[in-house]
Amino acid sequence: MISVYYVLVFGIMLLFGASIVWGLWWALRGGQFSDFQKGAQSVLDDDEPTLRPCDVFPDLREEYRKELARRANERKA
Amino acid sequence: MNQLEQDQGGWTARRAEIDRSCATPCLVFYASSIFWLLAGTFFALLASVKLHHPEFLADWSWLTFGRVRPAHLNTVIYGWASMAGIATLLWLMCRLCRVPLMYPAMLVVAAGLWNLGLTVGTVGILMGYSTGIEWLEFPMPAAFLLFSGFAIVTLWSVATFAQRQAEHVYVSQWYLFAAVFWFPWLYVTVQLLLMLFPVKGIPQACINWWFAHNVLGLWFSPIGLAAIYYLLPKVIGRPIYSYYLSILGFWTLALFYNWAGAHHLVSGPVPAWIVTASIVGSVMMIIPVVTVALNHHMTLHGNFRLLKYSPTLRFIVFGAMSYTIVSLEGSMMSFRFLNEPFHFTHRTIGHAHLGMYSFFTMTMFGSMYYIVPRLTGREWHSARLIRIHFWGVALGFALMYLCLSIGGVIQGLELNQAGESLEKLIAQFGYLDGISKFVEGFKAQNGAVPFLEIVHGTLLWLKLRTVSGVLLLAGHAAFAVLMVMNVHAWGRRHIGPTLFHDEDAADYDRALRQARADLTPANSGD
Amino acid sequence: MNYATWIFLGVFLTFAAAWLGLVFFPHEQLSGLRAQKDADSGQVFPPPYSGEALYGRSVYVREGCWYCHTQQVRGGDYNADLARGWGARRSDPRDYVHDAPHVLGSMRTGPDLANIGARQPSDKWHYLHLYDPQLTSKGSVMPPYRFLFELRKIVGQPSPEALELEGAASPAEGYEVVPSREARALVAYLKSLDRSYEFKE
Ligand code: HEC
Ligand code: HEM
Ligand code: HEM
Repeated sequence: MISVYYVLVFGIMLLFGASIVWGLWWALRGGQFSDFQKGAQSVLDDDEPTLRPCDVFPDLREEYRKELARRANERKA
Repeated sequence: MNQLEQDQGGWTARRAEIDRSCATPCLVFYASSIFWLLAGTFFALLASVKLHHPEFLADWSWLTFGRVRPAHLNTVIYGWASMAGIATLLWLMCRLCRVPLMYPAMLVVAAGLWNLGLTVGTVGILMGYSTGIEWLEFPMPAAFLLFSGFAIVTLWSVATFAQRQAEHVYVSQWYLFAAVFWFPWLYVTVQLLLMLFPVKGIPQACINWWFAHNVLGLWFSPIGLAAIYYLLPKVIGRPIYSYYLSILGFWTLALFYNWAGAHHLVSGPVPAWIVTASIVGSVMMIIPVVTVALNHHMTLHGNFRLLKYSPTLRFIVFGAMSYTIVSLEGSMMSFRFLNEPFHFTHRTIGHAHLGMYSFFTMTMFGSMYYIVPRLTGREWHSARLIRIHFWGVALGFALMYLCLSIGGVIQGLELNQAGESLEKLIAQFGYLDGISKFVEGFKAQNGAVPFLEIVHGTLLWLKLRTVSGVLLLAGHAAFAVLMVMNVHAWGRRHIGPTLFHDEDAADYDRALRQARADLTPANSGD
Repeated sequence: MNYATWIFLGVFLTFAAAWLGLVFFPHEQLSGLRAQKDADSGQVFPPPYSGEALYGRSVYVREGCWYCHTQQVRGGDYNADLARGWGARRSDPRDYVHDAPHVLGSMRTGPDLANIGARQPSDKWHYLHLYDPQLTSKGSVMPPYRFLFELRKIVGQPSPEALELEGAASPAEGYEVVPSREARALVAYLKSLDRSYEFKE
């Protein structure tokens, strides 16, 4: 029983220690850390309506559109 | 139609397909989580009332304080927070891997197992079959059911990840993937060491707190952060401020959080070096926390006005800010001179709700405001109910935190004002005149304050906590109604912004996109 | 070894060592602890629980007394555990070698009970207090545990264990309130909580 315990403790430790190292190694080798700009953009699909209301209180929709249009104009100016 | 536009149509269709594949299991998990939230709130209120009116429902052994409190903890932790977390995790995983969920029916089975485990466990606690270990009170059969349900979730997450169509692994995926492995690891280890190779006494306490701490930091926090890192950019339409910092934050969290568990046993009957190591780990946590805080803040910078319009953003930002506060507070609380006086007081309960409620629960509410309409294809029905929800829980929580903190500080100073302890505490605050003076006011005059007087001193704050619980309950009820309306199609079929196909959207988009491309080169991508 | 290897090794050690440090070493260091036997008197410290106290302990666990009561007298500079008289010395890991689950507790809504057996040895007080804390400690927020007592008709002589209730609290004429087996076991457990012995190094 005791030896099962030791095998378990060290087994789990090695498994998790190794898996985190493997994860880091995999990410480095696979270029996950090579282009941070692209990584940050990856969450936004190309066709996604950025800067358009995609989540808004049901009764504030019109106001929100005006706000966004105002912001767009402001930036243009 | 040129190639580009075709591709774009492809993404929209793909997103819709993914959302459709997730709809049933995620809604089952979400609906169950809300059921358990209401059950947990009910137990919370019972426990809270009993702390100032001990005669309330006192003759029924099933509802004695010592059973209702663990029923509250376990229903909100494993019922509400974990189930809402799992649904969010599954949806985010599919969206980020850009593949639909396979065999969604199996996840409905997982939800069934999980619900069964919770029912068995909660009834077990009320009947008196608690294991007697905090955060792990569920009796063995319930733990087994929970674990089986979770095994399915882990397998499905791995399978989804293995099939991913996305090239880049976004920071949220790191968090989610870690959470999906960490939870079963923690849960199995602790069950084995407490049930199968039962350890006794102090080693058991160490394992107990190693689990209870890690389940917060390695299960709930990663899911909450993953949701924030995904939804913040989505809702405000611009990427994370520093992607580098976000990755750094993930890896430092993975390294340091593990170490912090024994700060729950400061100055207790455990070898001092274990506690010291944990204090160091807790302080090192400032690194990941500050990176996350800075990143969230800078991403939002200049967009704070959007909080008025987007329910998702409101809840998410509330959650993100609370994460920073609770973690910095936690790092402070692990120092010996701050831990010892307030360890066993309501101050700790305040911190606990700042983490599990203000950070995690609010983040989950925000996620559900974004995700559920995409699963059902229907908008939220009532802006008024959303406002009742937000203000009920925001004000309710603020009140709860305030009274637990004030009451807890007074309680801690009174409990520990005998002997030399306050002198030494004051010495720590030497340069902060106000605090030293305040603490000095508690110095023992003629012997220690009798215990019963300390108890009386907390009553006002505990009653106010019950009031805060009523506000929270009102918010939760409003949310439950919204959810029922949405799922049962009482609300009007969506036409507007929550989804992506209103009639004028195309024009509108083109105009805005043009404007954006002209003006913000940094954000426009390649 | 190059730079990257060192980083990987560091990551591995930080991660794996946390598990070793917080789970494995405490277990190694402390699970070998045994109760101490005093060579002269033959007494064992901490004394093992009697069968009845052990049953009482399970009631203590089941009713969740430990959500309001700790059982640890802390060392350290910034607390008054010793000064309040909750124990004569700091609690030692060895005090807990018979304890599972550990019931160290995390909240002091009520006082620490690590040494309640020494502080309050009276059965009568404990029964009254458990039956209704207001009888002994007016204004307490401890819940009454009346469900651990039986109201029964007096047959022949009143029971010597019956609670001495007065005024509004007293039962109807011809009835008496007696502790159930669980209440008696619980009080036996509370009285066994006395860690005033010293360990020899
Ligand atoms: C809601 C929290 C709460 C719970 C649950 C609770 N207690 Fe108490 N307990 C208190 C408070 C407050 C006091 C101090 C006032 C008093 O003496 O009643 C106290 C005092 C005591 C004392 C006297 C301590 C002293 O130093 O004089 C004992 C013994 C005790 N409790 C035992 C128990 C037992 C046994 C249980 C479980 C069956 C229990 N308590 C459950 C809050 C609680
Ligand atoms: C760096 C981050 C954090 C540190 C260093 C930290 C530190 C601490 C400390 C020292 C305690 C023990 C207090 C005592 O008993 O005296 C504690 C308790 C607690 N913390 Fe944190 N905390 C952190 C973040 C969080 C987060 C993010 C959450 C929620 C998701 C959280 C939830 C809790 C809870 C629920 C408890 C109470 C546990 C219990 O007694 O049952 N903490 N924390
Ligand atoms: C609806 C309002 C709520 C109220 C009134 C409430 C009240 C309470 C009460 C009375 C306790 C016991 C404190 C004690 O023993 O002194 C408690 C503990 C706890 N509650 Fe809540 N709660 C609420 C909601 C929640 C939610 C939604 C969560 C998390 C998702 C949560 C997480 C916890 C945790 C983690 C503890 C244990 C704290 C500890 O051990 O230190 N609560 N709560």
